[in-house]
Amino acid sequence: MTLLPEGFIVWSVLAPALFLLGFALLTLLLGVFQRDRGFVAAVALTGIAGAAVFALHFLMEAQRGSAESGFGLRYLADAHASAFTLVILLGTALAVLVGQGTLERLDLDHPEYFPLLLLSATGAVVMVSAGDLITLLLGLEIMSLAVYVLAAWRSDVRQSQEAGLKYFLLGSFASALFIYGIALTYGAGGHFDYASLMAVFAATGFEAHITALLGAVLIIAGLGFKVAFVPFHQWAPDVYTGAPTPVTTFMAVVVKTAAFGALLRVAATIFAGLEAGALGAILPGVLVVLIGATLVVGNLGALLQAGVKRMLAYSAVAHAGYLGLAVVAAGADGMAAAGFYLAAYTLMTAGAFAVLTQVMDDDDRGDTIEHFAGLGRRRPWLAAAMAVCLLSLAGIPPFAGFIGKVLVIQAAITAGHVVLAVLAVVTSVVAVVYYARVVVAMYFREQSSAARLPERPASRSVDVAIGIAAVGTLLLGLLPGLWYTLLEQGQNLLVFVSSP
Amino acid sequence: MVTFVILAVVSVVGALGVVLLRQPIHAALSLVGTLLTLAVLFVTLQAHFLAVIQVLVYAGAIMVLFLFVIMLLNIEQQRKEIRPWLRWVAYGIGLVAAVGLIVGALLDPRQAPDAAVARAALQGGNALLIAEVLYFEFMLAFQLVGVLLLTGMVGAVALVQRRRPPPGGVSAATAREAVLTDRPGRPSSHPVEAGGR
Amino acid sequence: MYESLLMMFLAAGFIGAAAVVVGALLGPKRAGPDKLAAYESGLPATGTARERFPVHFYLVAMLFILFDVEAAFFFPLAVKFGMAPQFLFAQAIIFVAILAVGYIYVIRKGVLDWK
Repeated sequence: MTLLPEGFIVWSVLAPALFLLGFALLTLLLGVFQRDRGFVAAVALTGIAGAAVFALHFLMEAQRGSAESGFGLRYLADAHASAFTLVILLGTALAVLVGQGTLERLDLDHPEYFPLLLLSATGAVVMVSAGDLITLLLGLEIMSLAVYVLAAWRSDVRQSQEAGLKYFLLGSFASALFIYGIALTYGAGGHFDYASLMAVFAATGFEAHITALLGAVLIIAGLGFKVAFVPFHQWAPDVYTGAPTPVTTFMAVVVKTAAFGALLRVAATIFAGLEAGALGAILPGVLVVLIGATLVVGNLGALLQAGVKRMLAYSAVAHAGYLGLAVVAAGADGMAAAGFYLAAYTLMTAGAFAVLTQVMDDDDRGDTIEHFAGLGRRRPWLAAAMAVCLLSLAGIPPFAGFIGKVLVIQAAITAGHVVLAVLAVVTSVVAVVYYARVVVAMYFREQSSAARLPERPASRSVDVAIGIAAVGTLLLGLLPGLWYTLLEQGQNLLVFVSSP
Repeated sequence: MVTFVILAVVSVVGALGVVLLRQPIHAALSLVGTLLTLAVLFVTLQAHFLAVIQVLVYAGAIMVLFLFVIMLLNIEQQRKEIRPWLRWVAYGIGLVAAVGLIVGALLDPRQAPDAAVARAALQGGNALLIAEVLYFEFMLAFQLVGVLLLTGMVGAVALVQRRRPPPGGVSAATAREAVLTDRPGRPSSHPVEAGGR
Repeated sequence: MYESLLMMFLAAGFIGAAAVVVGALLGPKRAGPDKLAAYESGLPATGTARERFPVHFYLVAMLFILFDVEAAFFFPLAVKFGMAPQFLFAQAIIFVAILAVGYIYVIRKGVLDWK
């Protein structure tokens, strides 16, 4: 114990992640000792709820200005970490509910499903709470490994196999880039933890700018792959489409939240430190180009899709672009704006995918716009929920997506990125077209005879998930202050403050 | 210095072999060469523990997995390449990245630490030094590695072993299902299975 | 300082090479079709040697590596153990406990039962 300073080990900050991990292990054992799936799902939800209680506690502590951290600033439980943990837990809970209602029907019911979801969520929580690059890397790998397997969950279906393999190969490659980035950053700064790196990079005597810059660019590439920035987005449409829809629900929201949580933290510390020194102007330039390309490619790609699932995949790319606006403003209002945006994004995207599982047939197929025609008459509640989620994704008031877009655009303008802000506004107009297409089909077109809705009893747990998503989207849009004040007023550790 | 140049050349040639050789087995063996050279390089840097781990885990265990994959896929002949130009694009990107890294390293104005100083610091085996960092400062990372290993274990088993075996061991049918993909019309008994009896 | 190691490698290389060379020089060579055929436990060899292996082998190799890496992590721990026995023991126990859950899972799944 002699090698550690006093107060180094703070087990309590790990509570949300430990709770999730403990329940992941529990569900794993329950799974192989043959308990029924409903019971395992309930246990998983209990674990998520427990972790959420701890995360909420830390968020409240951060409100009081006493944000906690442990392991020498390697693991943080401040406002950013706790808020993002809560969003991850929300996404995981929705994915568990959707999974519970669809696994059996889609022939996906294997006992490792829920444990892998929880393990992946554990990795995601570690990522957003990480205070050093090694912890971040391990969280990223834990999260990704579980998701690779889940993407290939329908091992008898070619598309699912392809999705898993593609995601795995490209994801490993991105991890390799990320590790190179960490190595170069360490080579330049001599530390792994954000706090020291930030201080070293911004110090006057710092010389290794090029090495540090290369490292930062590679870190952007590695995390940019996970959030699907163009040009690292190529996998997203195929993997989102090929993976079973309940898995896509999880992948679209949790992986994105975790990767953005980490990217924002890295941007607010390491990148900000770099930007204070010489060559500092290059890094924001790189980010602006990537984000601009993401906005354009994501939205135009979504415009061209015939399948709703693939359209939502491109929409996920486009939303990575909007969230990118928060990344370039990470030091200022970006972190809080992204925290709000991701909560809204989690609700509306998970909701849309959950509705999709109800419209698609038992072979996880049939997601063209034709299949949505006349849904408003046949399943009015389902159609209404879908409409809420899609209009929110399009950024139409009074839904949560609108507030989120306003917040990130505002943050970008405050940080001086007016061009990106204008581009974001222009592309959101394009976005309205492809989301509205589905809504119009649901309400103003007759059901076509070729694409009938599958006849089957509604699943209660999926209905609950859709209900939470739709009501949450509406609530967050009408009363954004409920969530945003927590983010804005909470204390964040390690945020770079440029010295005059 | 001479040792380093020799080792560097061998390891780079080995790495080039991995990407240039067409036969997967040859590429894998070339990788073994690179990994072993790296182990020797670690030895010259007094990092004996890392060298041993490099041989045991990488050149040993990981390579076994590589060979298993090659045998699993059973690539009989070099098939016609799809988009042959892609290979050249990849070579180009690799070259640009390598040159970029070298230039970046050369432009780094800091003095490289004296090898003698580093060697003296690491004298007497570095397992001790690794332990001092790994189990104290990076104890959280160490435990997370455990979680990562567990995730890998569950993931691998979940994809392959899909059904619970009936009580009394795995039936022959389940074992046959464990073959990743069986081409139709192929005799279902594998020589390996047959040889086991 | 690595002379002894070099000697060992040289000796090992010499013995390996000598066995092959001496055998080739001194051994009688009377080849026939039966002698040149691949030997497969006395059974007639059929089919190609490049058969697809059941994925089960891969799974076992994978598990081997996971536990191999786990064991590799304990070597430095053992070296440093005297410094903070209780603390390091607790760490080792946590690490093993996480993987033990995986081990129970693997056993229950029947991965290690070979037919």
